[in-house]
Amino acid sequence: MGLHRWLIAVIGVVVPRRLRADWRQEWEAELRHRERMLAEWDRLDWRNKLELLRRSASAFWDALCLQPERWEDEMFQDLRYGIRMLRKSPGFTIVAALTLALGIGANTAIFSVVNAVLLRPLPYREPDRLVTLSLYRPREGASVATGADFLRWRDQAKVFEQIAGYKFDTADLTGSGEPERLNAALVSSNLFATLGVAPALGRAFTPEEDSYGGPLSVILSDGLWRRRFGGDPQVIGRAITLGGQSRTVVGIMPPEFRFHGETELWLPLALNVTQHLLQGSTFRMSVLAHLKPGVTMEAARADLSVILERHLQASPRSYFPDSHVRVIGLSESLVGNARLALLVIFGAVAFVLLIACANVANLLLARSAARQKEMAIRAAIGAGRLRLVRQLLTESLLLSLAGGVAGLLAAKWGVKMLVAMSPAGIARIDESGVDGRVFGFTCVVAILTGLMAGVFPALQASKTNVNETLKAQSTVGAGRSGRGGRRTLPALMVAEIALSLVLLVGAGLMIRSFLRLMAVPKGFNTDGVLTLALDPSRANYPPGAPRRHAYFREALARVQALPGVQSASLVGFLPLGGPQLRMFLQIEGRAPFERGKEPIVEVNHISPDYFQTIGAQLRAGRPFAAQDGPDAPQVAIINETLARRFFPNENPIGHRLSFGSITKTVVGVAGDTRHLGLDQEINPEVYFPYMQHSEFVTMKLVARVASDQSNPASLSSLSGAMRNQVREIEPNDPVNQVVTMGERLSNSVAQRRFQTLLLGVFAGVALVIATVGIYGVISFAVSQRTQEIGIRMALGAQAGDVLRMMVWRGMSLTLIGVALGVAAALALTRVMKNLLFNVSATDPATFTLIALLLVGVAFIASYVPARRATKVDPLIALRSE
Amino acid sequence: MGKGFLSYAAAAVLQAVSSGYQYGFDIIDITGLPGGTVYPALRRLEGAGYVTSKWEKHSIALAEQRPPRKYYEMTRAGHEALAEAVKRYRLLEQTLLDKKRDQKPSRA
Repeated sequence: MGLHRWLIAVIGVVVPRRLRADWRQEWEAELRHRERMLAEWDRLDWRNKLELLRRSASAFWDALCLQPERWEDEMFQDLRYGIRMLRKSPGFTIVAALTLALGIGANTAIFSVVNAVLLRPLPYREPDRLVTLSLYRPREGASVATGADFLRWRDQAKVFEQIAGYKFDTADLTGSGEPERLNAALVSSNLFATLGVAPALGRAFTPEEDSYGGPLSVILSDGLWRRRFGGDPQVIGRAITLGGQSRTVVGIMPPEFRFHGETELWLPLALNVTQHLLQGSTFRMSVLAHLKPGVTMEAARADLSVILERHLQASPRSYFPDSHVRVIGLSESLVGNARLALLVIFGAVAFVLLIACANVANLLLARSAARQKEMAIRAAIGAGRLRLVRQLLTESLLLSLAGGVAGLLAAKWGVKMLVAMSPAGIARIDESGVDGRVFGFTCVVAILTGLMAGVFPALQASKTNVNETLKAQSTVGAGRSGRGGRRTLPALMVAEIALSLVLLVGAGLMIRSFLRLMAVPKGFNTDGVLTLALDPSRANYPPGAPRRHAYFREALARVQALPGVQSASLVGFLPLGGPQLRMFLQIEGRAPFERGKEPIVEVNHISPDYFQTIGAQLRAGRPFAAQDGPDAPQVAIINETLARRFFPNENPIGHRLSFGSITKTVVGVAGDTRHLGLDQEINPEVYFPYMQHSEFVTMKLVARVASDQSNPASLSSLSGAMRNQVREIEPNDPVNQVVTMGERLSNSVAQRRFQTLLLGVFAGVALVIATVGIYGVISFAVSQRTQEIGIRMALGAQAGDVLRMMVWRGMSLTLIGVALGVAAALALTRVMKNLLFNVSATDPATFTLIALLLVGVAFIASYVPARRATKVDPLIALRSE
Repeated sequence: MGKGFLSYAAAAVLQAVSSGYQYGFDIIDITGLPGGTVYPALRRLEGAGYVTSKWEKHSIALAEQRPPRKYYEMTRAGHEALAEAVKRYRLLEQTLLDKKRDQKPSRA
């Protein structure tokens, strides 16, 4: 046999078996024929022999081209068979696919949020090099940057390519159409360049426009441009009236441009450099910088620290000598504390998926016991173990792919719901959606899920003992050879219970902290309280002018006169509204606090009926009255925290406190109210009578409605009336919406509620899946042991004994699962410590309660199928052999 | 293989079959294409229904003491597809004719 024919025989091994014989014959016949011809012509020399060899080598390509057929053949066989098997038991298929759809859908939905918020790079140039700069003031517990800081950094820092500043504000658009208050941002001229974004139409601001007293200009968002100006490009160069000033439109930003939410227009920052630098400033703003290539955040921090040091040496009378520089990546500063919550929730859905996997694996195992015979027959007629495993994996992959498709559809809908439900303040969450990356994630998850759920059952089921199985009678054989399954099945159930317990404990901790949070004494009463932020246009009512003052008084008087309003008041800062005006405190007649160490107090301004209106308590002294006017003695009311901290053993009333140049006599002590948030400490706080201070710019109007009016319908009609009354004072000014105090409270806990709700929902889903799993395992055990039970009952066992035996099987596994779960939860809940409020991550009450809940549910899930065991008729059971 | 998607190589193979070159090795000779191209092309053409394959009579093979050879024949669809392809590859007919003229039966 020639070398070339030997080659064909070898290459033939690669050819799919179905085609191999024909293939070899065709090539060999050709070669042999050619050889013979050459021999006849007497041309069979070494060159032609080499040529034949070369030609037979090219058969290799032919064989390779036939490879897809091999895969197609077997794959289609597997697929066809898999689909047939799944269709044969639709109940099983639907339950398994739905379980997986739930797990995969939840993962896809949460991943699309994680993707939008945490993973997708910011849509700016070199987002990794964008950082925010601020000074952290430990005494205030806040990071701030002022106009002066910005100017110093801009002029002195060497490590940045650009430093840009911005500040959020509102601007009233008047002139054509309905007057409207718009979200605006004051920005330095280089902000857009720093972000690497250019206006879609027109141009960015020039440095002249960004200088104090420079030309007045404005850049519009795409949305505003289309909404108010009909998308007319001619608007560039036209003047519009903003806050009473005429400004030229110089640019329109692209539609996809977003920077901190819904800013609708941008104005030049135009800082008064001399004023800011000379006087320092209380003008707070945000600073964004673009690092030079190769500069780390550490290096930037060091550079800015040097500048701070230099400044503190030059002006040692600084109020905040202990402040230090903070340089934070822009993406990190945008995401903030949402990261931890998102990752915890992502972890939770991963658990849900694992539980779903375990459950489907359970179902597959139970089914594989019933298919022992089929496997044995397939093995007997020549299927290798690999082939059997592949067949079974194809089935579980089919299931998980069906689950994946359903999950993806569910996720599309789920993401919409998530975004709609999500509280404000999670940057970019509204960009969540199913994109390529999410799709890829889902595919990978679906495939992994299919493999994970299928691999154990497949290995188990393919372990066939052909002889044993085929010899045995139908049901008995299945039961006997399913012994391996009997070990894996409980293990999966234990895992399911342990995973569920971890999830439930996490959700339990969140719920418990939410309940604790809502039970925190607020210091005010939200029922029947309406609030309205007053901010008349600054053009008509300049800050500090008596006219503005009169506007506030007029609004108060009108609302007080509304029928149904019990009392109304003006207040500078509403509870739960965040930080207030902060001032340094000195107490007359005591050694002054050292400079730089003065305590900081929060200052609020109120009109006489405030405490009564908001439902706060006055602990001592008197409330403000009408006579506490500008010419009367300067008075103040302090909160209990201040009284406790600075007057622990004496009556604070009559003491004189000074705040900078202002000195006031304490006339009352008010109960503490939560200002920063329910989960925040209460700071020392001072109330000034509003009439003695006319320098502030915005006020809130708060009204308590009569108790018979506090139903939703009256509240909403009173809200409308209140708004109309205020609008009538100045019909050309936009008026804010009336918000109930209850809504403010609800908004202040929206993030926590959202997190709690999500974890709760996922834990609930996990519980349901796990319950189904336990039920399935016990049902299966009952059906497998029918004969044994029959024998026991024939030998005199009572129904109660059988019931106890079957329930104990479920409960013993549950207890192991609970024990493992508690251990895992103790280790895992620590990561969510920062999400909890007043609850330890290892809170024994929560752990106990959840463990009991799970044991209870497991009991029911095992009791129901176990009862079936007691109905076994020994006669029938024994006859089935 | 969809209609009208004959590659140049496949069209050349089809052309060769229609010109009476029925065995794989003969087609390799006449088209000058390597065996790694001709055989897969033949299988695709067969899959598409443009050619059919048959085994030669056993007696002939027996006489030559080798396994029966496999030969390929045009189908009606194959003729149509070839006509189509000839329109697209104008050089096809010409090339093959040139080849035929150059062919020396003595070469392997």
